[in-house]
Amino acid sequence: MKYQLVRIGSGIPGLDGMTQGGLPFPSTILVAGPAGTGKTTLGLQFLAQGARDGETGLFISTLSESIQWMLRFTSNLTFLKKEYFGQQIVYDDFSGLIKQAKDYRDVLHALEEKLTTLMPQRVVIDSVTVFERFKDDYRDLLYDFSVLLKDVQATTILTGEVDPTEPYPVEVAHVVDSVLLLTSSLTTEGGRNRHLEVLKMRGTNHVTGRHLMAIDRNGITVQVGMG
Amino acid sequence: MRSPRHPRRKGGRRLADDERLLDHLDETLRNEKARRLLFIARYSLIPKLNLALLDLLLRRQSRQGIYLSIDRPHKFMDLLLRKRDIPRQKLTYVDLVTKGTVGGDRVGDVKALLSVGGFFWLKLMTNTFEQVFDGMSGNQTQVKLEDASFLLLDNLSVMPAYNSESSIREFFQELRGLLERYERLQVFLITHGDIHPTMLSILKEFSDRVVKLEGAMG
Ligand SMILES: Nc1ncnc2c1ncn2[C@@H]1O[C@H](COP(=O)(O)OP(=O)(O)OP(=O)(O)O)[C@@H](O)[C@H]1O
Ligand SMILES: [Mg+2]
Repeated sequence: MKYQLVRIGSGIPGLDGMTQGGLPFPSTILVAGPAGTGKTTLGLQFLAQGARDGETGLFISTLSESIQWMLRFTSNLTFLKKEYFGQQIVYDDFSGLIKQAKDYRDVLHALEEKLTTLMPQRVVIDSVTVFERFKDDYRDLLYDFSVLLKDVQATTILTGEVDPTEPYPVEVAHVVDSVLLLTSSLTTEGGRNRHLEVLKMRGTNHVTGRHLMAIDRNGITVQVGMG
Repeated sequence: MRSPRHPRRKGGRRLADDERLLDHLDETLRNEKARRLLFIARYSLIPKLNLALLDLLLRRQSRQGIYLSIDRPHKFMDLLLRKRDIPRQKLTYVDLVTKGTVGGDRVGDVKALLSVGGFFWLKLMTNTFEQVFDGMSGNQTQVKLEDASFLLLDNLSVMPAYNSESSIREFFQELRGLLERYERLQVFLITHGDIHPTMLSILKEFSDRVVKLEGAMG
């Protein structure tokens, strides 16, 4: 009698086929990549899928972007319906708290408060890179966050910014269950190709290697098999 | 005695959907005589279902009972109950997730609970369950086995991850025995539907009522 991990739709066309049908639930997933590679878009697509499936999603911004700006920049994305916000997708800005917090546990408690009230099935924390300011406690913070997020029974996407020379934030990669890498590379014609790679996914026989992806108003689409 | 249907509490945080689920369960379980109830819900609803059932049993129905956690540490459930002002004084936790020794642990203002280390302990559950309660009696155990009117198991769908089919069957056999010895006890089992067919049939065989939560409720 085999135990089967529950999998939920990622909302990204092409991705679920690479990961045995979806993202493990509950689990933590790092989506790492340089600026403009599609991390926020991927997170929003993931929450929109949850909204369509009747789940609740929590989007936590750590980057002091007001909901007004976020809505403006995402307003032409076809998958994000305005009526999701405040209902199936709840947005919260943690940037002020993170700046003021003397101890990372202040942020942990605020997150706990939010999670225990809402009990979301999907969470996006965009991004975790700002938590590096808690220096020596960074690993403890990541560990405590992931325990909390598993207890609440959510699948969580943590986005992580990297500079183009660094493949992924190593500390985070060890703590999470899965790592997705988003990259882009210059083509010979001077354009840019976007790529997605599943670096690790616990409990999953996933497709390896870089796969071509595109971003447009419908969000990210992965072209599996096209490197 | 049933508590008022919609007591307004200060500080209690609940969302409209949670309230609807609670009302739905209240109606579904009114005067329920079945002693072994199985709830099948969407995977995503399981934590809310756990909470709503405890809310119904402890607050609205003022019953006392036992919460046996297989899936998540009891401390988290305790936190959820606390946040919602759901009374926890008449609840004993039996925690199979948190590693610890058999003995009283203290969580918040709940004086007694059982913390029994390790998932694999499930196999031994057969006759030690009562012994553990005996050992915990007196000022330690919040709710004694003979006073408990319910036993709630948080999420049976994870059971096959830690236990063989034979030990799972043995577990349910033992649970039957427990129900015979403690006549007040009503058992609530929770799972999602996408589990191994054998596991689902074990659960259905054991139960004398299956409640499927559909649509927005499930
Ligand atoms: N509606 C759209 N149509 C076409 N392309 C889009 C659209 N929305 C976003 N993009 C592309 O996706 C890129 C940004 O994606 P996103 O904001 O998700 O990246 P990011 O990895 O979160 O970046 P950062 O690290 O700066 O936060 C844009 O720079 C743009 O190229
Ligand atoms: Mg971004």
